[in-house]
Amino acid sequence: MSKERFEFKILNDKDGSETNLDNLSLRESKAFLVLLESMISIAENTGISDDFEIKIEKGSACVAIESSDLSPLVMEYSNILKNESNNAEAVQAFRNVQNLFWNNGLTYSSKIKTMSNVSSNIFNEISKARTFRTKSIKRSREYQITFLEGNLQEIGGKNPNFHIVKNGKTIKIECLEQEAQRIKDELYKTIRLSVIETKLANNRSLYKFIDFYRDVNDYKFYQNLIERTYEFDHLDFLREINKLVKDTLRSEDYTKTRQILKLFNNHFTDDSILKTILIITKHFSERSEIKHIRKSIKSILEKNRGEVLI
Amino acid sequence: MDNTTILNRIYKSYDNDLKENFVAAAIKYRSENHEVDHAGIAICLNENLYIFHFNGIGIRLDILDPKKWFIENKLDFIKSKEVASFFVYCEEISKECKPEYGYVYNGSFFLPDGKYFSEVEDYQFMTCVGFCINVLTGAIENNKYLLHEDWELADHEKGVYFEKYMEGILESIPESKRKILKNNQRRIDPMDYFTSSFVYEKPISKASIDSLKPSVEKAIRNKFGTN
Repeated sequence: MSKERFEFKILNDKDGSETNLDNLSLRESKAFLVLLESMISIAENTGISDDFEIKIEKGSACVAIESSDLSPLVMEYSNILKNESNNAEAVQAFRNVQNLFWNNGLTYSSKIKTMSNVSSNIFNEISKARTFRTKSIKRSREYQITFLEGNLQEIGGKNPNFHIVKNGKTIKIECLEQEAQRIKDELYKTIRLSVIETKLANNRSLYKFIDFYRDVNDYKFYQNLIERTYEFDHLDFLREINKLVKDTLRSEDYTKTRQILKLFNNHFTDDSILKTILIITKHFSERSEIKHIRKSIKSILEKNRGEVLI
Repeated sequence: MDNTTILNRIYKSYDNDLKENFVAAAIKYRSENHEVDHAGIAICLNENLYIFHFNGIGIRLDILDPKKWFIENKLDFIKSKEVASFFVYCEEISKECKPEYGYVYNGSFFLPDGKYFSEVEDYQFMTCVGFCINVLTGAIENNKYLLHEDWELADHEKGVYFEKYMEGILESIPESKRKILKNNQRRIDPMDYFTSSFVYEKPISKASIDSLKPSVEKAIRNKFGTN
């Protein structure tokens, strides 16, 4: 019975000369080592059956895995291409290959051959994909944290709200009375703020005030933080938020702690972020600056999990 | 909790599906003599099974070697979506905290910034069980996971143990702190810890553990004992 096969090949050196396993340049040897190591890690970590063999072949320089059934590998690879894999080891191996394809200037080819299919397009798929990473936190389709900058106008109303005007476009933002009070001194000035945007039909949105930033660096920092929430690997983002909150607690900058917490004090924040915040702030739950917001985060998580936190 | 439920809940590491994240109480069980001599916390995250424990010398957070299996019972109060948060908290503890071995538990818990919440913050004496309780207590909202005052070393045991082991270590510690540590000598054994994972009501009393422990021991023996 013929075996299924997954291979990486180095075809040419940087100067265009054909690669030959008998006679590798320094650059080719380094590339070969990365491919071999990655291949071993892929074989070890994608759950393919134990009968696999790692092949190193002449001609050009080729490393391959052969096995009776490579379907777990094919499945993992397709998840990795979509950045939907949670398999850190396999992602790392493919990322190393991706970096090699991007950076070291040799010519490669790569192929997967199974019983049902042959795909020779692997090199293109890997080099054209975004940087491989493990699964990140999913965005909500309906809600998002949005950052806005514009001229503050028309604060007030029975149901308090204000307007932000930028490039002739006006956005109405709902707020609480005390929030309107907080920003009133900024009237007719440029203001930078974060809001909860609720997307409605016909490309319309509702906006609800979260916070405003006097310091442009804070504004940029938090804007970036929210971006990273959905870009980073899930665990890396939790490490990031943990460190960020920890640093504010260590430096006793509780106003800053509150500023961070505000951005996650909503029902569409992932439970893992809420829980991370609760653990790191546990010992500070009675600090006046964060007491109320922490309580709110706690009740959001309790509602999501359908059970009180012990 | 009835005997069948207990029997169904306990399993050997890796005998359980790793598709869904979980945190579990874990104990080392010697099937040949039914001894339980070590405790840790098993964490299943992204299809990897980790063991988080204090081996008397240092804190370890490692992928569990399938040959070195534990007996586990899942902790229901940490939901699968919260396991990644718990894992990050454990990473912080293993980076920041430096416990020492000793039969002391005074209701302390870990803070993920590396600090340690305790009457005697500077001296982190604990056993493998004390470590697990410190970790779990730091991860819940309540400041108590166990009603630790229920546990005690017998008075005569306290004296002998202190003479033999702790006195030497404590010599350099100020008298006032030494007293607190001395008064908080207690032995919560790995079976107490494991049984606590079956008790729903928190904080957990010794009485509730004592009433369940024989059933848990029996279930382990029936399911995993070799004689």
